[in-house]
Formats: sequence, C-alpha cells, structure tokens
Amino acid sequence: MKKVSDILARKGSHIISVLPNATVLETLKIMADQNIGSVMVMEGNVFLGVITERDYCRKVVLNGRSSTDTQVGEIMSTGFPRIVPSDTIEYCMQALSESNIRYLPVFNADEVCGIISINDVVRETISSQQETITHLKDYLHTNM
Amino acid sequence: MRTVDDIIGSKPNPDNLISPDALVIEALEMLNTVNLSYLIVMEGNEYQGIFCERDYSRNVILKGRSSSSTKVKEVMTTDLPVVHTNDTVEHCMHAMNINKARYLVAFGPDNEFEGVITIHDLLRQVIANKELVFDTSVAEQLINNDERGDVY
Repeated sequence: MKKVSDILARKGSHIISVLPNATVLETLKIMADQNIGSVMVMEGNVFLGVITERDYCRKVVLNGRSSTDTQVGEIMSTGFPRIVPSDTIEYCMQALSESNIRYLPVFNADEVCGIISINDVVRETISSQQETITHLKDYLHTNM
Repeated sequence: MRTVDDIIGSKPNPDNLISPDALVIEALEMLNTVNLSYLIVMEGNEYQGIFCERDYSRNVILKGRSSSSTKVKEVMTTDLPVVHTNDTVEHCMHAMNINKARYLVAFGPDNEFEGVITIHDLLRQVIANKELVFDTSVAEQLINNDERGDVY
C-alpha cells in the first residue's frame, strides 16, 4: 500500500513558501515561475496556511480588492485535514475528494514537511498499479 | 471496466457554460456561483475550450491585462487532451498524467462534444470502483490459478 512518504521520496520535500505579508501579485509570479498552483504561507517554521489559485479567483477582485494591495495572509486557505507521511494514498484520495481540495500539507510532529497535490496522488496510483502488474507478470513468467 | 461514458453519465447537466466574448470578471462571478474550478466555453453549440482558475492566475494580471476588460477567449485553454466515450477511466488517468492536465474534453463517436472530465471525477471513480477502474485480469489469473493450472 503506497504511502504519502513514497510520494515525498519521489517528488522531494522542498517547500516553496511565502510570508503572510507577501502580496498576492508576488505570489502569483512565484506560482507561474515554478508552474505550481499553490504556495505555503509560513512564518519561520510555523505553517499558517496555503494560498491557492482558488483563493485568488474567489477572494480578490470579487471582493473589490487588487492583487497588489492584498496580502496572502488575508485570503489563504486554512483548516486542511492533517496528513502524515505514514498515511496511505487511499486515505489521501478520500481526504481530497471529501473536502474538494487539490492540496494536502504533510506534517511530521507538528512541523510541515511537504505538500502533496491531487496530481501527485493520481501519478502514484498509476505507477503503483503498473508496478503491481509488472511484478505479477514477472511472477507468472517465472512460475508457469 | 469504467468508461468516459460512465463518468459523463454520473455528472449532472453542466450549468457552467460561458460565451467566449464574456468578460473575465463575469467568468469569475460564474465560477463563484457554481462553485467549480472551470467553465465550458461554448459558441452556440460549439465547444471552444475551457476557462479555468489557472487561466485566470497565469494569463491576466501577469500579462498586463485586467479582468474587467479582457474577454474569456483571450485567456481560455483550447488544447485540452481529447478522450472518447469508450475510453476507460484508466486511460483518462494516463492522459492527464502524460499531458500534465487536470481536465480532459470528451467527444462521442460522431465527434460531438460530450463534456469535460476533471481530475476529481477520476478520483471519485477510483474511490467508488477501484476494481473496475484498473485492469486486474493479471491479478485474478494469479489468484485463481495455481501452478498446476487448477482453478480455485
């Protein structure tokens, strides 16, 4: 059973983060440069939330704000389900689906140690399925 | 084996349609109202593309545009990977993975537009029907037959 730690081992646990007083515009540039859809909001080692494309779409212009005068701390997402490296991929699928979210921050003893996305979960599901089939085919060829 | 047809059939009729000439600000309001991440851009009955949260995040302010004066057609996505109604859910997952996409556009046998498939749709299928999504015939052969060829 594949775990969150398998995903982090493959993609790395490098965390891209901004301070809560970073502007939305600065953060959009980081997202575009890194080709990502979310950035963690941290103050030192303390995880505060995640700012996502959805936060930008729903909470800036529609609320009469602009991306240059809004800080990410004002619009970021919080309240994520707590995921740890030993959680299974299946558990993550349920968490993503139930909360209708695309990102899950991963915690190790209260410190954030990475973030996984819905794309990571799909990729891991496919590759784990392929590995199972490869192993089974190898077994069949050697034993029959 | 679950297919694109099953996914489209399990979704309600789309209420997230928008014209290519609508303004981005109108599209944002609709995204908020329907609470989705994308809108299907239609010119009459013709599928044109989708407008999604990423299009807004990458193609408006970072390119010197404004949501109140930019039309959806200037920033929408038009090159979604294509799947057909008989394709399997597993095929869809591969298509999304290889193309690094979160959406697929589905067409029927006569190339008529059927709908848009999201990564959440696929996840729901996997959660509900894992054994029907992935080809487990190899695993079943192993489980049901021992080395002598007896069936259990």
